[in-house]
Amino acid sequence: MHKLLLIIQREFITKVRSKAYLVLIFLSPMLMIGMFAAIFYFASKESKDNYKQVSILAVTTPEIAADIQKENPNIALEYRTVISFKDAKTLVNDKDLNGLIYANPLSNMMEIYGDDKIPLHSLETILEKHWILQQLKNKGVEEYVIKQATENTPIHYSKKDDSHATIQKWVQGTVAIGSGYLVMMFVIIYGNAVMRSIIEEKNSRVVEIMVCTVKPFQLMLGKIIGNALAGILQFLIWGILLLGGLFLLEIYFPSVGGNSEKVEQIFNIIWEINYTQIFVGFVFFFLSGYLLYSSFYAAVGAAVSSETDTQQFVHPILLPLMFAVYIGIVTVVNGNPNGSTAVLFSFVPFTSPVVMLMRIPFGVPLWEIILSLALLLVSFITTVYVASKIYRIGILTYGNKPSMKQLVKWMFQK
Amino acid sequence: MQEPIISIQKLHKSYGTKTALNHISIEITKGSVYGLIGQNGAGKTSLIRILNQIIDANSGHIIFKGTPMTSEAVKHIGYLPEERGLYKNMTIEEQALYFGQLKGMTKVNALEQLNYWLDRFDIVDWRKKKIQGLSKGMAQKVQFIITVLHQPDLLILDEPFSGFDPINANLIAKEIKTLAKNGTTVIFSSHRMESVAEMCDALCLIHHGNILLEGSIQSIQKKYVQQVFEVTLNNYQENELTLFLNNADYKTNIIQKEEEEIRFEVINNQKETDQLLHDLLKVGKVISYKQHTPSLQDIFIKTIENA
Repeated sequence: MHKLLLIIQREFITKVRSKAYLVLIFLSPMLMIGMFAAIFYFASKESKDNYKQVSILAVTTPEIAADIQKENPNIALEYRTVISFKDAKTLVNDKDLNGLIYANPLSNMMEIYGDDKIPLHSLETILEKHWILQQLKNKGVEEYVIKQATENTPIHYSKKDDSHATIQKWVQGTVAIGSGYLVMMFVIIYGNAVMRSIIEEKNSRVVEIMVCTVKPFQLMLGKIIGNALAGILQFLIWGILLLGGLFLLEIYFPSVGGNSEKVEQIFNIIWEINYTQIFVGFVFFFLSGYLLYSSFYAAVGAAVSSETDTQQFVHPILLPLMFAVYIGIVTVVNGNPNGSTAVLFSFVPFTSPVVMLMRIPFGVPLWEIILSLALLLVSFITTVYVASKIYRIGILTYGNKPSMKQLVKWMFQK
Repeated sequence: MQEPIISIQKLHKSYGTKTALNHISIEITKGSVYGLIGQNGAGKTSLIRILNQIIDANSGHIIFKGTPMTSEAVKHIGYLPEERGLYKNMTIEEQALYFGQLKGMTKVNALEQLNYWLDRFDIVDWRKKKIQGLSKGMAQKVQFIITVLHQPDLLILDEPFSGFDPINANLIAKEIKTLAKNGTTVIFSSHRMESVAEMCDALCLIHHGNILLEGSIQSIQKKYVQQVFEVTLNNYQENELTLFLNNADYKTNIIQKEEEEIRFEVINNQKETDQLLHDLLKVGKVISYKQHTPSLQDIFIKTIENA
């Protein structure tokens, strides 16, 4: 146990004080925060720039035109009287206006022409009102009766505000995909680190001294655990930097954006997220996923003599991880993170670290999480056993790159 | 006879159909320097790896310090592999602490020993240097220190002089001898015969997993002393010389012949040495008479050729 701790300590310290690690830890979040800042900045800038007045050509009676303007004060109304419908349409197209109202209740002609930016509902209502007015007038109904019936109706419409739910879904999705993607990245980065560390030990022949001091299994396990700790430290630092960065963004952005209310709402939803749960989930699923995959990486590192030989073996390791990310993204984007596909792959050990983590922000029953972790643990014990068999022989075998067949042979060699 | 520190009994190891060690038995006395000689692929590395418990033998036993060898006992062994290697991005002090502690030393103890060796090699100011900044020879010295740091009872050195310049090789040889004098047993593996003859008290020659020769250097050389003599005669008589040259009991090669003096090599296959001398005196006055002692190298090459 003492030896294992020494190995873990050495791996951890060597990893943590390497330049690559420091760059990864501090530069990557800065780039990420920079990217978010850019997105926020351009989003708020765009919503300001994008506001352009809707313009409509009105070939109609002054009463109808007045009503349109009254109901839609934002619309720029161009008023004409004598022009044919055909010419009016041509004029709209030529002048790049949004629409045309060609209406005269007396002539039984009431046309609305336009793109999807015109307030169709409002225009229809206004035209309908004037049509009915004209019809009633024609039937000899007194004007004051008509006025009473049509003006000051008690109908009131208010728009339902569903932006909270939309934004919440969006934020949850981002957190889900982000954390699933992060787990994949971490597994690959730290799995590779284990592999490289083993290749380095093998190439510098330190391994020869190491294995006469400790058991190969201890050495492999020490490496895996040491790198895992470095990974968790990195995640912790990233988490703090990211939350800190978001906090700074929140202070800065509402004062510049034209969309400050929405930005504030986004931030409110961001702070609503249960970060403890995400953090605990990440640590558990990263650890178990990493343990599962890193034992394969360790076996590959032991089997080959140089990093260039690893390609052929690393590819099959990457495939299920990629697959998991795609499954996760598709189910999250389709709004079905608790559907049967997502549930199935959140139990399959090779995809579960990513898929389950992507499901967690949407709420997953605890028993599912525990079952998924348990399955991962069982798989880890199996793979680490197989990997240690390959590792034990591989680290002392130099020269040619072994074939898959040879690796299988090593598994059973005494 | 002193009790052996390590006794290897009928050790057998094969990889698939290839036999690396064929039921070999060796005993090594405490405080001796024991040579393990053989060509590449003879089985030396397999034997060393089994001693270090890196790999298991198929059968046979190893008794170390009176008890069967265990992986726990490996901490009493210091191993310098042929292919040297240390962690490139760790300082000398860090490596010493790491390997020392892995071998069961305390931090204080490991530092103490490191100081002793740095001082002994006069490299105290290297302490904080990383291996990647050292020359090959310097790294070799550090590797030697790491190997002996935990004061092992048994030191296994695989080609310890490879990569050293003659001065540093001498320095290391001196240290090895001092360690042996102070009770450390040394197994010295090499395919360079001359370094073995100089360093070892006893040795064994391994070839294709079999031991061809074993014992102290004197006993091996004695066994291979040949009945070959180099003789110089003065005032020789031509007719007696012709008789001698034609004597079927001797095989003679003339090296140099002058009017007064003749030098030749005689292989004495049949008769006693006394008889040879007697016969030579008949030919002329014996000025010099020397029996050939074969070098270890010759013995090894001959033994392997005849194997």
